[in-house]
Amino acid sequence: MILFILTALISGKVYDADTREPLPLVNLSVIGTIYGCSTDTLGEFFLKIPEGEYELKATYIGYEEKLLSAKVFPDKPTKLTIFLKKEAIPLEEVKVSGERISEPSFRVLKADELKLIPFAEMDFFRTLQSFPGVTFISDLIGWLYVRGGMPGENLYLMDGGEVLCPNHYFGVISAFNVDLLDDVKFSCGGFSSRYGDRMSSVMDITTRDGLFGRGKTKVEADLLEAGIESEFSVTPACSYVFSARKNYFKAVAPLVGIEDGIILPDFQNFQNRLSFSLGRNHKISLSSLLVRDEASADFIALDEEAGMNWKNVGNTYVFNYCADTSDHSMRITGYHSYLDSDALGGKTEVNRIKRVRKTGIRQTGEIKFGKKHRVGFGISGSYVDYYAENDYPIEFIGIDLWDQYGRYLSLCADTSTSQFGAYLLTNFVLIEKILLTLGSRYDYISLTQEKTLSPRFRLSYSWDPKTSLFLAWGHYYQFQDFEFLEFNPNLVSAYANHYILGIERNFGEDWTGKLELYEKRINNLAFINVKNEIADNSGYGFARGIEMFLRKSFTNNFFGWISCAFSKSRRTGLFDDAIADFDADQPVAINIIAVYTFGKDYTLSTTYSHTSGTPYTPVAGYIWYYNGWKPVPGPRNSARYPSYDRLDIRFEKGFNIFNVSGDFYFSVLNVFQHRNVQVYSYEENHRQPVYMLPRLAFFGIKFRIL
Amino acid sequence: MEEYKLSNYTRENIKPQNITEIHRNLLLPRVSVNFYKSLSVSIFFFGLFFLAGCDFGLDAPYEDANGIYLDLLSNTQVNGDILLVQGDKAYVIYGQSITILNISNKLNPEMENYYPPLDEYINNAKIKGSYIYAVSKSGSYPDYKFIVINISSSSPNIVGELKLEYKGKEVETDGNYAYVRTNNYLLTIDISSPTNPVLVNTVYFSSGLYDCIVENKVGYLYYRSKLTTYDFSATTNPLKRFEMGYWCGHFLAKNKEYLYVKNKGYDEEVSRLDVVKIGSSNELEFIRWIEFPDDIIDFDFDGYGVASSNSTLYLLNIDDPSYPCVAEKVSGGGKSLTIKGDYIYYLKGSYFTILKVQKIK
Repeated sequence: MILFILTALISGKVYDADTREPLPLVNLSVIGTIYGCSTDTLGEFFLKIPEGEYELKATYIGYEEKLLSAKVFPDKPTKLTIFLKKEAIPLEEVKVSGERISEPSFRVLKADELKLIPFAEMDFFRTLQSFPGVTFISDLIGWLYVRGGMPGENLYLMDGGEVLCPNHYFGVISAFNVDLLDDVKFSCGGFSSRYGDRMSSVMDITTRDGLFGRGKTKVEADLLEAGIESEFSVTPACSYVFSARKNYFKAVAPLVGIEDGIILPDFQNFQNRLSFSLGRNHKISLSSLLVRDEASADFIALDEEAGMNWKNVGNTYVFNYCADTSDHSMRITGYHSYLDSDALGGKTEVNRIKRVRKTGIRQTGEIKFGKKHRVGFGISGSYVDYYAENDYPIEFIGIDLWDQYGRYLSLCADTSTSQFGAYLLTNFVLIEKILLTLGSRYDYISLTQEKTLSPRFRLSYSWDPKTSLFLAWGHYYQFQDFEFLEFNPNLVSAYANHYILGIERNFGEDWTGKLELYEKRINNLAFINVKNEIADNSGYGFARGIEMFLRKSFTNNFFGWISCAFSKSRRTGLFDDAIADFDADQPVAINIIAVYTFGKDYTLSTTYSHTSGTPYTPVAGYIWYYNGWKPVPGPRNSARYPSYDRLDIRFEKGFNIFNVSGDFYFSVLNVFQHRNVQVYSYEENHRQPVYMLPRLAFFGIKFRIL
Repeated sequence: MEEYKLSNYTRENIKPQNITEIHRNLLLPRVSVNFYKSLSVSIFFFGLFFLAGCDFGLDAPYEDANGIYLDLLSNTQVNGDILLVQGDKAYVIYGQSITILNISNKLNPEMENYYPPLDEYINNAKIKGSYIYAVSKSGSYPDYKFIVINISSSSPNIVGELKLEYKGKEVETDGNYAYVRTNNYLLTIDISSPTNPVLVNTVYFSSGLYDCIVENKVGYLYYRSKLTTYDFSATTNPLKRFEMGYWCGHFLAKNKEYLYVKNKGYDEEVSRLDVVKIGSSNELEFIRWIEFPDDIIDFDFDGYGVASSNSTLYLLNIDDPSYPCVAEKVSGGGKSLTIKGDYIYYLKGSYFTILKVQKIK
């Protein structure tokens, strides 16, 4: 009987009333019933419902709610076309986030944009590498080097909780599933006093709530990995969304003849969010990201058995309570994040073990005084338990080959500490057209009993309704790695001063241009003198440059950006007190991302990158050692790889057949087969370049089971 | 086409690097070239197999490791024991004769002149300006001399000489003085008047003097188990400035603030080049040694270093003078090595050879 009743079907498509673009993830509920669904990425929906006459409600964040009537017959599907109008109220005003003072230096990627960007779905960290100010050392590694900063100087937050393991394989692939993200805010510098203990950049990721109503489930599988995403209402006020991915390359590899000498990667991740709406202005959410990857191989090297084992487990659990009213907001975040990372190398004799546990609570709030003045404040506390073993053969470090044979430098730590932080931030109209943001934060770390004060300010001048000028300065501290404190417990925090001058202009409604000049001066970096194994704060560096960013919003079927950066960054090394070009210094970096949708569900997208080659340490020559020639490093980072060029193209076509939707895609990576050098492999008196990705062309089909 | 093997990424041939390079080159790419291959295959199979112009460096070209190599410019037949190079001229001394070569065209040096046999048999010589200063012996019963040969005239001849009590083994010149090393003495000779060299001082070294360099009135002397610096400002009364215990050294060369000492170790089974730093007050500090697979018989430094065994000639990269390393090596060693900028001159058998250091930009 029930089956018979459910044969009636309502299907249709939801569009933006202005742009006529299909709207994904629109929530459709049947008033007075338990039935509901949401639109897919093509804006289409299918709802099975008993025969009858109903009133449907279509809701979508940022759009006006729409009610409409529909009569459903058992013998014939009912087709609906729904147009939603944008709400006049800004999106931020209706969100219950608990944080409202905007971060003008952030670049925001919304979820729908992330899904359109080619390959961002696979790894959106690579998309961020196309932002000005972000450089990389390889297209095989997703590490972000931001304005002369090391990857460890970036702060990764998920719903306000710190993420210690945002990547698989130490940075090769991002662990986040973009389908579950609401937005990604990314700041290259000049960020407010809300963020502490990092001196380079902030990536603030917000996950999204699950859909209300019946929700949906998506299953994806290909030859190497499978994933599932599902979202649904637990109660009328509670939604849940999760995704899980796992690869099975280990199982597939032998089937395609890959068995020996291959390091077989194995990864899995789980991301979820449970959110409760406590009325209009209050919300509780629980989100987590669980990352696990493993790679191992047994192989024969120089007639000896060798092995390699990598293992990474990093979990993050975040609890949030948000309250948001018209004149104040508050957010309380509790989180626990841990990372267990092992890299045990056989012949290479490099062993790295890291165990980090971080538990913290953070409260942020904002009070609004009239229309021109806001005050933000917050306190945070955390406890870190840290254990690390890093044994590097001295000869690998290249410090002193002559008298260090057989010696290992141990970067080890087994310690714990409490951290406390507080910030105050005020944002007010100084005089007409001039907005001043003043802030400062105080941080304390119990291990070293170090107290730091980090003042920051930002001045914005609205030249005209479309143009604004801004000036920012900030003082940013970052506690030293615990391993370095083993060499000198009196090491103080490294710090950076950011100086930013910029102009931003809207060209029409869709185009935004930004020009920024920046200088970052870094001081008190750790330097370890390997000879006497003493560390000090004598390291320093700088980064300066000019960045241009032209971005087109997703309108008229077109979306994308062009970024262009000219920069110079130099730093001392951890074991080398001489200043040299920074590892990821790219004096010229040009990136283009363009996405064009046309016809019925066709998408053509492209990414292009041209950058200067990154520096590397050349081989100066060789010395005779144990009956063989052993290479000797020349001056650190004194040579450069050839310039990097890569053009990727992706064509995608959505389809829906027999209630199964999906995408067909065809991609070509590195279209021009540019030989981008990853590294040089040295053999006696010769070297051979190892290239990054070659030209790769592939196509595939993704299915979504609704 | 050579296939990649993981054995290419082992400790034996890994490049020493800084820590980030380790992350990048060792932890990730080196041990994981195949991992990346796997990753790429994974991307490759993300959809259905279609087409791929795969190129994982399998046919990546071999390049010179450091972009430095040696070009043989010329091999000119001439007999010689001692080679002196000044400007566009090379002077090849062979016992009692001197051959002058015009080396302005280094691809084809031309014999310009040949001095008829001198009465003196030259042991060692240095060239400075228009004169060659040499130590020699003559006669059936050795008659040791310090001689000055004028090479500016069309008929070069010995213009000054000074009889020595001991056999001169080596000559050094510095300013108006020549310093002659014998087995146990260092003689200071005033050569301000080349036609009338005058012995002005003698220092005795009871345990034998193995080598000496004098530069800007500072002498670096190696005698048995001692490496010393002397101040020769007061010509008649040189003062010892610094002395360090030093064993098994053979001969010296100086480049900037570093002394390089040939050392064979106690058991004479190793061939080492020791690096000694010269301090601002002429104090000496041992820095390190580097080894060679065969016995080094001569070396010289000027921009680059060049060292030679009987069978191999080594070009040394001294961009970091405290850490010379072999930038290139070619078979066929030689003697009387001289390096002037990018050009290396030496004698081997009956040939005078010129090499050029080439650097790929």
